[in-house]
Amino acid sequence: MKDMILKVRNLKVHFPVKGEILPRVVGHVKAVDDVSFRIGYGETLGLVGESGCGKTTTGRAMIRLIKAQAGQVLFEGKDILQLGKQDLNAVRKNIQMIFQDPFAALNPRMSIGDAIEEVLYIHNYGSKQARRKRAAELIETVELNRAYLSRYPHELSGGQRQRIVLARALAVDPKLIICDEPVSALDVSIQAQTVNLLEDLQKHFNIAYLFISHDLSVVKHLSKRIAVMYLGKIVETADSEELFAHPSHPYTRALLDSVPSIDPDMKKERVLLEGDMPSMTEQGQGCRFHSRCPNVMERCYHEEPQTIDVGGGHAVDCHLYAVE
Amino acid sequence: MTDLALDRDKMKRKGRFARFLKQLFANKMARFGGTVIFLLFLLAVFAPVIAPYEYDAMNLPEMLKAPGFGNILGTDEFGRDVFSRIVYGTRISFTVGFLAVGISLLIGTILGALAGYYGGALDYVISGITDIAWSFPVTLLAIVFVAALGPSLINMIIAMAIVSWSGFARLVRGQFLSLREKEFVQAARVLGMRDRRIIFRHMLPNALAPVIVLTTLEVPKAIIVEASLSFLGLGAQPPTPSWGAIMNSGKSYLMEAPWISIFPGLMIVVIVMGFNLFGDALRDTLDPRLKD
Repeated sequence: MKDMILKVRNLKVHFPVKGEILPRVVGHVKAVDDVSFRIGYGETLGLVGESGCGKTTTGRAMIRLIKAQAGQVLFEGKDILQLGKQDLNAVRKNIQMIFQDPFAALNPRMSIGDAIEEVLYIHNYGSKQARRKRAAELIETVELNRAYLSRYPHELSGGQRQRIVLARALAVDPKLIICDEPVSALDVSIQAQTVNLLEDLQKHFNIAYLFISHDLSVVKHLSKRIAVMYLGKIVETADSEELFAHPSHPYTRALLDSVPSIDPDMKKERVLLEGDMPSMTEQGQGCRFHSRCPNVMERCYHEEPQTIDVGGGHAVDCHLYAVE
Repeated sequence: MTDLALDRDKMKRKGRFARFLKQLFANKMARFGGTVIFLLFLLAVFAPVIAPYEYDAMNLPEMLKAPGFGNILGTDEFGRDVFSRIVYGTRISFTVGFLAVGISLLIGTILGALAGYYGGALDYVISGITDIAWSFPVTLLAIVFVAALGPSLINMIIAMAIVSWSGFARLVRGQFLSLREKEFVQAARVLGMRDRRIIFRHMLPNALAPVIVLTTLEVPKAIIVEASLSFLGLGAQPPTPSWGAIMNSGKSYLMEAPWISIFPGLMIVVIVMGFNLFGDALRDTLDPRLKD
């Protein structure tokens, strides 16, 4: 098997729910429940799912912005969740994160140049002159003019800011970037530019991405592999093309069917989901998708499905594929 | 390119600040309040030049003289020139106002920042103390402290600072709580920055605007508390010419020589109004959303 840059094993993030009257723990929101995946060097893993399914929490728990209850996050063999402060900062140099809202991701009181140079400074990069030079290089790497170095965030557009955020992340030469819905807040035309830029940078610097998004078309374009998440759990993982060609989990099928087609004559049987995602606190027994599943069986009500390999690196958590 | 890059911070900062000042002084109230504060500040700085007499120069034959030629605001029961005493009193008001507020700003900001940034048990303890401090009436608590420490100018400043930091702590804590969740702060953490750098470089500058406004609004309050305490004899001791103390000494002669109390009282009104108008204008400029 090829070397993996990141292996996440059985990651769990549970938030305690306190009682309304007494501050005692009455239950847990299982935001991330037993999530495992792996990412190879220079490879993109797309993590898709609807709002509130735990995608963002997964990303944040991986770099300890949120505390995880259990599991392992192995970055080049080192478990991030177990590292001391010193080692953690060393690893963070290798893992960067891009946030959804480029308007909130930059300090409004710092010029773009200062923001990039600061990152170089805290990682002991050369002299002041060298840092200025590097900042100018970085900003050109993300295809922006050097003149922007003296601007403040409020003077830039969303797409430009997202590039700055990217330049800042690149300043530390990361091997992995967690992209948390990086294009969702942008206009469609700008989305394409940003996605292309991400692709170019990946080719150039051999960076791996964990690309978190709810937008399937973007994920399809970028990712080598895709993991579909539902209610805190990954329900299907496959290579991008395989997943789109043969979606196996009923949830994935519904998700793919929700992507609008540009061909008006194409009539297909659409699987439509009814209802909302059930509350994360009220998970009972069985498969967590059973309340909305079009293929629900007796078994789904009381037995949680195991991960089943349907061949070609395609894994599904569904009783439909269980071999008796 | 390097020259351009080197100059850019300076140019940018200056441009921003100049724009801010222009915006601020477009406001009539800011101009008025600012002018009042500025003139009174000059009065305090150049007191020895402006005052015709020493503040403690007694001249018993001239006592309780009505305002007029020679003593434009009259004289007190010891024949001291009321105008000169008021001019020197400006120094007391400014010193106490700025020092007391400065110290409480420092205490409040540090505690508020710690509570807001680290949260958890530390926040619980600090917030508890802050709420207790907040619930006491400032003047009353200051009286208790001064009574315990003994009446003097320094003790009064200390007492006022101990009593009034809670407003700053609450404000800064609230700012930090909301900033902590901002993505640029999270990004700073991901980029491997230390807590100290995140607090001082990323959070404090963004928390400052309302703190500055609160400061300008706390100074006049401190000036009033100072005058009140001195009026009660708990602050500046005679012959120190605090406005409150002058008013107190004049109260026995209110019928025969009302000018002794009236003029320092008017000065308190003017200085407090100046600061309040300026503070309000500052708030409107720094945070337009708060405008009524």
